Amino acid sequence: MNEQNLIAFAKELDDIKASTLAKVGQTDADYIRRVVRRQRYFEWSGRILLVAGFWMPWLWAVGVILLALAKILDNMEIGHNVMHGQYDWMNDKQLNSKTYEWDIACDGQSWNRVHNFEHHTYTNIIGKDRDFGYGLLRLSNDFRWRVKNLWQFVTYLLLSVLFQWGVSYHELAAERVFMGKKKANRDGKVSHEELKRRFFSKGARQLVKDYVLFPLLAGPAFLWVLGGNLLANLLRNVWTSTIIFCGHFTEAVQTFKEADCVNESQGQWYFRQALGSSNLQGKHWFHVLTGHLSCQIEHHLFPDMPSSRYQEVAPQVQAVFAKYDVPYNTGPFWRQYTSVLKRILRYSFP
Amino acid sequence: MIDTMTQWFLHHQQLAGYLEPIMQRFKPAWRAGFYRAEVACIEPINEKYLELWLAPESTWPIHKAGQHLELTVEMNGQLRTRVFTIASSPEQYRASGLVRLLIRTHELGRFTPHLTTYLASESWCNISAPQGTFLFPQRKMGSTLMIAGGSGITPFLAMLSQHLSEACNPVKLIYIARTGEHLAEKELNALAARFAHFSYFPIGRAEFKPLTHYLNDLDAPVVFCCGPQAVMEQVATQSLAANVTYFDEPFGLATHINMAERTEHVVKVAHNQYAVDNQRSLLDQLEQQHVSVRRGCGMGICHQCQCVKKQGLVRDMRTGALSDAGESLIQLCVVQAVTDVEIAL
Repeated sequence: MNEQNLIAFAKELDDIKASTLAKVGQTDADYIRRVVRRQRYFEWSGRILLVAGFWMPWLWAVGVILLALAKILDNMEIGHNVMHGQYDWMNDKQLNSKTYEWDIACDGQSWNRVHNFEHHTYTNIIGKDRDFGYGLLRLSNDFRWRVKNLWQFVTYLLLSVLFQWGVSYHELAAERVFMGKKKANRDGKVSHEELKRRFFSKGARQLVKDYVLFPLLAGPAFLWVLGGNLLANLLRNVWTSTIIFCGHFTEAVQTFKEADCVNESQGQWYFRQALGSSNLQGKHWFHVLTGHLSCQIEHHLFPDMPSSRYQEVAPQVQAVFAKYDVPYNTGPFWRQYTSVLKRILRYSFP
Repeated sequence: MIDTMTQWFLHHQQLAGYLEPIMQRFKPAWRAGFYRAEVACIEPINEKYLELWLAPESTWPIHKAGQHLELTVEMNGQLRTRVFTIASSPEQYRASGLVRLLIRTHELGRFTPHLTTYLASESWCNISAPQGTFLFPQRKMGSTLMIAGGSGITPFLAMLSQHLSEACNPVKLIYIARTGEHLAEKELNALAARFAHFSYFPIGRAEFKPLTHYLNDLDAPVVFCCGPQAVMEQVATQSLAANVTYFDEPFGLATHINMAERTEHVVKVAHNQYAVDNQRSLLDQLEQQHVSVRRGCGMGICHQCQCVKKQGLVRDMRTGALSDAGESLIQLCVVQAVTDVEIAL
């Protein structure tokens, strides 16, 4: 795209953003509070049914699903989006990016810093956005092939299963904090001691909650609750990992070099976000359960627009992309997911 | 104990915060850290003023005459907060369960012109505990001179209604306002008729004479003043010159906004103050002065530099939109100061 088109492209996207944000109000506040209420209902009923499994095993299965749904809503639609500052305009202390904490091993404020800043500012810039492959997987030719990449599909499966711990370890830049590896272009605003403290303290609390406190409260149903919590966490891990991989690692998603973002204009920034993300198609409930990461392109263009508006702006964004001949990477879940698996396998080999 | 458990396992500062969205289904405006109040009546008094009667929930700590509260109303999904002095006495609250606010409506404001829309009678809002130290001294004292300007009459209405029956030394009220804009005239006239030691003088701005003129028939006077900045400055200086005790209650905000013209403001962070101008972002200027702010993307995306603005107006450099005057979240990298600002990092 030439400079003139980039300016026009940025202008049209800015206009979509401005006109949408102007509409944000009571509907959006009601929406996010409704999701929070559902999260609470799912969590409470889920935890009760896990205990009921002691007498009726099928209730346990329902309980597992409800608890997994509660955790998914908390992490995806509420936690991720609130911590992006999407609902900060409400001035509500409970839905505020400064203080929100989520039901996952990763400490919210550590995540907030790395994700919002490194990942969203430098999306898919190799060497800047550590989220590209999470330092575990080789997903493009920008990385030298190593023997360990041969079995990276297994690594990927393990990462999915243990995703909350992977995120927690990754967001703290553990290889630097624990192993002392240095990176020249990064300026740590939070001390390593503080990061370590948060990592262990949040992780430990999560372990105590799901595998000690709630099972003990259940008395004779100890094992049922412990097993249910384990399975609910596992379901949440696999779901979030799968959705997140679909957002950035489908085959067509492009990567960038550090030089690409020097003195980048707004148009170039939008363009890079567009090429670095991919969407998923689905029904409303599907979008909600993905935390609207199904609208990854819109989320990357407008990271602090309330998630309640992504479905509405998606067709407008798509139309602008078509006009400027920018690829709009979208598809149904299975097609996109297959594409992710192919990419992981493809770059397993040199 | 409950709070610690809530923080560890439910990820909220208080249990009430975790339960809030559910509780709001049953109790409108139920909010952790706030008191609830039901609107008993909301009515315009004239073109510029509203009278709002609120019924606070029973756990609300009763105010002292002269104190103010923070009124929080959800307006189109956003919680907006402003401070108002309570214009009724604790005695009236004990008798009726109601507190009164007299609210000056600013046509272009974000809060006061919308109150009648969002606070239809019998709806709910939030209030804080009463605050403030602008109080009628309890100890035995000489005579009192009260000087009110415009909506600065409100704390005096509460004080007079509460304390006139107990005090026996002279109390004189000078109430400066435009002709026809004196509030609660009937009420004040009735008090003047009932209590011989209370005298009341509604005057226009131009009729306001030097302080000594009002002090000369008072014995051992104490001066109370509440009103526009200019009036308070004048009264404060003259009180100092006349060597009399002086108390005041400042309120109000600068309203002239012209970003083309360079203006200088003060940013208050904890106990420190920093000089800034309205031309560059707050983040740049605070960084320059070595305040420990956190820089992120510098373009308003990542929210790393976000902080709580306690008061003052800022302007969003991207959209030109002005912030609320009350407490709200701002991103330092994309805002400029429009007035003096207080922030919490």
